[in-house]
Parts: sequence; structure tokens; C-alpha cells
Amino acid sequence: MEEILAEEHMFIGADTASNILLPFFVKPGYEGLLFQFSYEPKFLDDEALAVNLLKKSLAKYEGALEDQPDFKAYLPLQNLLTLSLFAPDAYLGSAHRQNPCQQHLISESFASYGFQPHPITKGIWKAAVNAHCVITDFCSWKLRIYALCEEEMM
Amino acid sequence: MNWFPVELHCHTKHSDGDFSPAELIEQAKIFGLKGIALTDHNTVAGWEETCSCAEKAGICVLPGVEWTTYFGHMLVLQQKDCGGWMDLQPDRIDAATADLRARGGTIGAAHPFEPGNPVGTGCHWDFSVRHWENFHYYEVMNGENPMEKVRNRKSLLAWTSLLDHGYRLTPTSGIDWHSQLNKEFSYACTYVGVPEKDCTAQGMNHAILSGRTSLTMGPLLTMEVCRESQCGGIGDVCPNGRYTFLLHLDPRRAEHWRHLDLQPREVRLVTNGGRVLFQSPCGECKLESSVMLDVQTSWCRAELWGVVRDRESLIAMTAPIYFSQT
Repeated sequence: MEEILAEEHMFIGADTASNILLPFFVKPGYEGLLFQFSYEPKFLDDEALAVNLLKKSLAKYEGALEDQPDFKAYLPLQNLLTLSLFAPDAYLGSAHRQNPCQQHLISESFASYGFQPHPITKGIWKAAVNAHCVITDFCSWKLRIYALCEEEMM
Repeated sequence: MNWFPVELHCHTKHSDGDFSPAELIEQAKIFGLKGIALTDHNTVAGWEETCSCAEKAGICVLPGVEWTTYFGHMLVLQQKDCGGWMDLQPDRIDAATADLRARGGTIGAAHPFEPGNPVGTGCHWDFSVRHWENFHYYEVMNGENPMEKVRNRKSLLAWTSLLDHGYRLTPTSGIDWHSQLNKEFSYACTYVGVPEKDCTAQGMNHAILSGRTSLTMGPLLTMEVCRESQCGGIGDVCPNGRYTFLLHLDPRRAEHWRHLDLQPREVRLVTNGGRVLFQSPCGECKLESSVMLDVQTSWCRAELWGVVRDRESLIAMTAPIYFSQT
């Protein structure tokens, strides 16, 4: 198993609605790619701040809060980062889900939920970390990518 | 015309849904749906497995994607290439939709008035759309208890305004199906009008492109107009003039949603600006209404009003019949 990319970074609120594109080179001879992606914190723990932000947001989008007695159902507010993948010749998909700690495998015959299987072709692949929402002051993330040979796929 | 119940906004484990493709199809079968549109967020990874499961179950699938951008969510059916979602900016929406349409995609605005961050990530429609003619449909009702929510009432008003401006966008509903439905809640269902006797993916898509939908939380509401030997149906374009409108309510269609306490009270014909052209009391037992009207406006839709979950509410609504001066 060869580590071919190790990236750590910190997002701030202003990074919401942006992407970081991470190209990585895959040498010939591999059968699979393993992606380990995680970020923290997931939740905005300051409930008073969260309620305040929520009230502002709902007032902006939906008008009077008195029409929404159950607005606290939206709590806790959370960060959402996703991982998307591009093979040299195709977009493979995205793991659009709330889990802040994810592991994905791609091969010619198998792919984790959200991605299409694809042969591990030589060339420049790209991972994109998508900042859908950063509600905390900081949100740090890590991405590790490993190339797997045939026997490591068993 | 045959009317088939379908759900046009579904998610699986390929994005943030609880269901595997097989489980989604099983749920669709339980609720009596004849078809679904698979619209996972930013991925087509579930297409093959879902279509395979659906074929065995006799359910048709329109494969699609919910382009889950940072400035609004857009439903795109029958177009596999969705890698551009992350670069879509508010002022680039027209170019993107023109391109998708040219490549054969069927394009809809999803829950345009859903709250945005941090409540719903990128859910609110912040695109600067100048060319609504690139779109085929507009999700007027989204989620559970749709007409109890400000966001859906805003969608209905915005869609009505688009109709007034001459855009013939087909209305749709979407459970936005991520998990088990709650029997305490109301959900809208889209019926698609298909000339063929069986529901197919192609038939579903053609119904959306042709404006043949009827949305309901219970009974199926349909409408026809006739004069002399000419008749027109939902989605058709007819010349302005005097018509007999035939409204039909089919309560048997509500079977899959029978748990919900719905009390139909009134049918209405609504035209430009939301103006009510005609209204008539409507009990469970009154299934047909007809009225003669001189139509000089550009569209007309039928609505069913009544009580849902103890609240006065829109229960069902057809897509419009359009009228033109020529």
C-alpha cells in the first residue's frame, strides 16, 4: 500500500461554498485506490450561538419565527464537507453524506457508495474537498490516499 | 390518458439516503408508486443498481442527479455528466442549463425556497436565472406536510408568476425521499399523464416535457376542456375562447395514502395571477364538475382545497392547460 497523497488543511467560515482541488499522480500497476477523509468539529457546540444563527437564517428565508415553533429541530448546526473524485477521464461522483469520518475504495469492479467503479489508470487523478457549510470558526480536515496492488485488494 | 403515481426526488445510500437502491424500490412498491426518479446528490453511482432492482419489481426509473450546488439544488434527469456541480456559480446557471438541455437533460428547480445555510446546505435557490425557458419543471411541493410550510407556499407563488410571464414549467412534487415516511405526515405525489397503457421511464420523462402532471396529497384531480369537437387536456395549448371545463376527481387513487385524514371541500379553476375563475363545493361523493367559461388568459389550472391534518390546505393541483391568442 503506497501513500500517494497526505493533505491537511483548515477551513474557516468564509470558505463555505468553495472547493479545494487536489491532483495526484497514479503510477501504473495498481488495482485500487483507498481514500480516508475526515474533518472536525462536526457540530457547533455553542447552543446559544447556534440558536442565534438559526433564528437569523430562518428569519431571512422563512419570515416570522412564531410560525415555526419547532425550529430547534434543526439543531445541532453542523459543518458539511464532502469528497468528490475525478479519474483522468471522468467524474466518478461524490460522497454526499454527513459522516465526518469516511473511507472509500475505488477499483475497476467495485466502488464505495457515491462513486462509480473505474480502472486505476495511470495519470493525474483529482480529489476535491467541497465546503458546503462551515458554521464553526475553524474546521480542519485530513485526506489520505493510498494506492493498492492486487494482493492488497483481497 | 393514463395517470401513474410517481416520486420524482429520491435518494439512496449513494448520497445521504437511508435506503439501498433495492430498499428504495421496495418502498416505492409498498406505496403503490409506478415509477421514481433517482436523484442522488452529485452522483450517478446508483443508476445501474437501482434500474436493475426496479426492472425486477416492475417499477420504472428515470435516472437523474440532484446537482447539489452551493447556490441551489437542481434536478437533472437523463444526463449523466454532473461533475460541473461544484463550479456552478449564480451567474453561470443559464449557460449550464442551456448546455444540459442541449445534451438532452430534463431540468427542474428543486425546493427553490428551502432555507439555505446553515439550515439546508445550499438548498435555497440563489441563482440569477434569466432563461427559465431552459428549465422543464419546477418542484412546487417538497418534503413532508408540504403545504404547511412557508417555503412551498412561496414556491407556488413563484411558479405562478413564472406562468404569468409565459414560462411553461411543469409543476412537480418531491417527497425528497431520504428515509422511512412518517404516517402522521402528509406527502404529495406526482401523477404523470402517459398515453400508453404502461408506465415507462420514457413515458414519465415525456409527461414532464409535455406538462402532463397532477400533484396531490390524496385523490387524483384531472381536467379537460372541450368546445365543439375539440378537446384539450393538461399540458395542451388551446386557442383562447369559450370552453366547457370538465373536472374529475378520482378518490380511489388515494389508496396508498389512505391513512391520511383528508377532507376535500372545494374545486377551483385558477388562472393568471392566481385569480379564481370558478369554484364549486366538492364532497367526497361528487366526482365530476363541469362549467363553461370564456378564457382570455394564458393558462388555467385546477385546484382541490379542503382540510389536511386539521388545517385548511391545498390538497391537489393540476398542471395548467395553456391558452394562446392564435
